[in-house]
Amino acid sequence: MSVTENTDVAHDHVVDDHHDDHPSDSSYVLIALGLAFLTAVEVGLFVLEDWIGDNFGLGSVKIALVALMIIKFWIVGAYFMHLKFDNPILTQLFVFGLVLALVVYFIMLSAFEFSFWNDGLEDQGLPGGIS
Amino acid sequence: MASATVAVGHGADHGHEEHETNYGMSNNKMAMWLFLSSDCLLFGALISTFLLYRTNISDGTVFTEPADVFDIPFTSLSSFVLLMSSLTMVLALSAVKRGDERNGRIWLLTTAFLGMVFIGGQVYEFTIFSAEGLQYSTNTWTSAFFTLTGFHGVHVSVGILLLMGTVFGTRNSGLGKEKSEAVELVGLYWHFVDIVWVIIFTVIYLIPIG
Repeated sequence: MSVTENTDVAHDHVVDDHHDDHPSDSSYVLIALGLAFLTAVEVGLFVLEDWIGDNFGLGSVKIALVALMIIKFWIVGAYFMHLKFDNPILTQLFVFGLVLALVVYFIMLSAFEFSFWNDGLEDQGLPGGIS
Repeated sequence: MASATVAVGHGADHGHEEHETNYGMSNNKMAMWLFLSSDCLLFGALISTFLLYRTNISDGTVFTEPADVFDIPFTSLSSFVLLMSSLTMVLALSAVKRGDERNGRIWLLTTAFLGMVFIGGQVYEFTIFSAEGLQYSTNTWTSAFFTLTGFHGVHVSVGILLLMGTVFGTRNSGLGKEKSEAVELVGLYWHFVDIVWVIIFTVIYLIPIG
């Protein structure tokens, strides 16, 4: 067998393996049902917010909602967008944009919301200014 | 054997060797992910602006809680519809990759239909807000809200056009396995629109302010 033939055989084998890694249609349906369930839990938390807030603190509701949001985000990205199975460079590319956005806008919100950065903002007619 | 190793590394991404980059995937796919990555910055700006203005309302209105303004059961249903459209999108891609053109087209059209239902819901919500006096220029909160959800709606509408273009633009040429990358790219865009809504639904509609 020549080197070229070896290459073709190896290539086909890897491509087939790659496709086998992807979830089946029934797995996709289960993943979607899981996402729907998580959405129902989110809405349930929202409905029971007063009761949960009184017993465990409103912060616990916010943390739970953000955690569920992150889980749903990860599931869609990993399975529906195939990041779990594709070249890791794609995950790195996407995470780079995501982290950049989070950092930039966290700094922006901090500038308006944290009092130690706020001196003079209200005088300039800008929002913020916790006194 | 060294040659084989190189070829395997480069061909490990769906086998589209004719368009590969040095990373072993098509330029189109890389470009789509680059676009989606940059789109994170757009939606990051819109979401953070909304967060900034939801308690700093220009006309002095004291904004209370999401439950007092939004119709959460209705929006939850819209969210469910958009989530299910992501399912139909992956089923479309799966069918096209199998060479099942008929089911591929059916799932693509179903995805577009669910997208239209979502947009219809958004138009209904905007109409209700408008009737209740919450219009684009009412205050900074409404401006930020309509801009954010409006931009998302525009993204969904573009996605619907892409889906329809994929279905009807391939009537003559067919939607065989060789078109799977085009379907995959439309799918990536569609799923991105879905995960942006996952964030918007939680941050804007569900998380209490107090």
